[in-house]
Amino acid sequence: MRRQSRAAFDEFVRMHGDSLIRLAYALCGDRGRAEDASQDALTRLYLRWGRLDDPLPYARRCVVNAAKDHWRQSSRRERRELRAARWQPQDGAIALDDQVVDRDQLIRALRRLPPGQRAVIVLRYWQQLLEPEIAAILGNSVGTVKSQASRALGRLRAELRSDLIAVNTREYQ
Amino acid sequence: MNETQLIDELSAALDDVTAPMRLPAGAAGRARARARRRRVTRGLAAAVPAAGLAAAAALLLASGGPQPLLTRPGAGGHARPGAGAHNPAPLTVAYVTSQEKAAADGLSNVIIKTTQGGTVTWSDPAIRMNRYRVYGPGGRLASDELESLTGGVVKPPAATGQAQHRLYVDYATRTWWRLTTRTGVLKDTPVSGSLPVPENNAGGQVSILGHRTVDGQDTIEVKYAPPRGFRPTKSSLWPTEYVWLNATTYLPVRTEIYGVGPVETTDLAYLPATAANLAIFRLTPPAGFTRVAPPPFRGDGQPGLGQIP
Repeated sequence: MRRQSRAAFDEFVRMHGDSLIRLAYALCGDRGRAEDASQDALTRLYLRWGRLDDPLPYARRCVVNAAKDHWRQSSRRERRELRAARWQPQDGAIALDDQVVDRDQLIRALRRLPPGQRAVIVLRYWQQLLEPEIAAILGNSVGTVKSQASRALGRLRAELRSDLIAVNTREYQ
Repeated sequence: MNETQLIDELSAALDDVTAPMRLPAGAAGRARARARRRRVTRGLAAAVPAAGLAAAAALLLASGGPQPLLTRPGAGGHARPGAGAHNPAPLTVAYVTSQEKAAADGLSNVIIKTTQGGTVTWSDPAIRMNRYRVYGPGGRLASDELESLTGGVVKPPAATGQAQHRLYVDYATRTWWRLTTRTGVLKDTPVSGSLPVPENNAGGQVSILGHRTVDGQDTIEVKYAPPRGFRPTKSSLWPTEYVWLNATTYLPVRTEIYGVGPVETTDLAYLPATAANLAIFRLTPPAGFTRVAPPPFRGDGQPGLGQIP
């Protein structure tokens, strides 16, 4: 790879590296995995560096894929614990409206979403990307992105309700 | 909390929780190093040894050290079609590239030695060890490093959860350190024993330029170039790469990458894994050198990229 190309790559990493690792962390929730995922992504990006008109979407795609890979590789035990921690909401038990939800609860609820839905939520509502951009990153259709976003928001609310039930149950015991 | 409030809160929560995250120093360099190693990886030693490879390696060994190319690439007209009398097969792109891949896939029981600029690397995929020597101005040894990888699951091209043990000797500061780290799931990290074949050249042009003599060996020169009509831009370049394959073994003996910067030349040799040659994977810090704490970088840092003091 030529010097000029290398300098352009270094400049790209300087400009976007932190946002990529933040994206990775938002997706996988683990510092070490986020570092591995972003490093993975940069490696893949550099391999393609000479052939990309706009490297940022490709870099994001690499981060999302790497984060998914890391999630898949996480131990079964870890996932069992997550499942065990999840409460099934009862119909109409507690409405989310008018309830105070702290940010830790939000992050925990986000972590419990399936990787695809989590990626859509993070890219759409945090990174503020458009649905076609997300579709390109995830390799899905725009329709799939829309439906995943809708399902993810619904599930997020359900997860938060579960947390509220858990909190209230503990408080009354 | 309505949907808009939920999204706002979530966004703020992600801002908060990710705010301290910073890309570790040297990430660009590590990415380049990994990419370079991955780019040259297609032939992590397979379990199936190629018949006659040891003899071929010995034949290559006999060629001695690198010498200047007799001809410059890309000029055309230097080819000597038919010079490889021992290889009557027509030099079609499909034939040569398939032979090249088969040679890389079948490589075993050899130590691969690569020389690129001032860095000499020995790799033995069988024992998963690498030795790196970096030479500075005047050919003086600047650093010497032994790397070994243990444990984990190695299923090319992925290496999962392996421990990386490094012993690094710095001749400038007369210091040395040891470091053991455990890597995560690193799908793109070749373990060792990479062979230089051009990275994914899908859509590019591959040409067989004929026979050349490199280091006294009869080789087949292969050119990997951008597709016709490709226009380089500031952020979009496509290197042209020349690979010289030994005409008998189809193992690469030299690669050159051409672009706007200096030409990147890599020479390769294949050493039989004899006890004498395997001694390269023993490193003892010289007497009088001081042991120091390893520098603060992650275990996937590669040598010679500036993050090592």
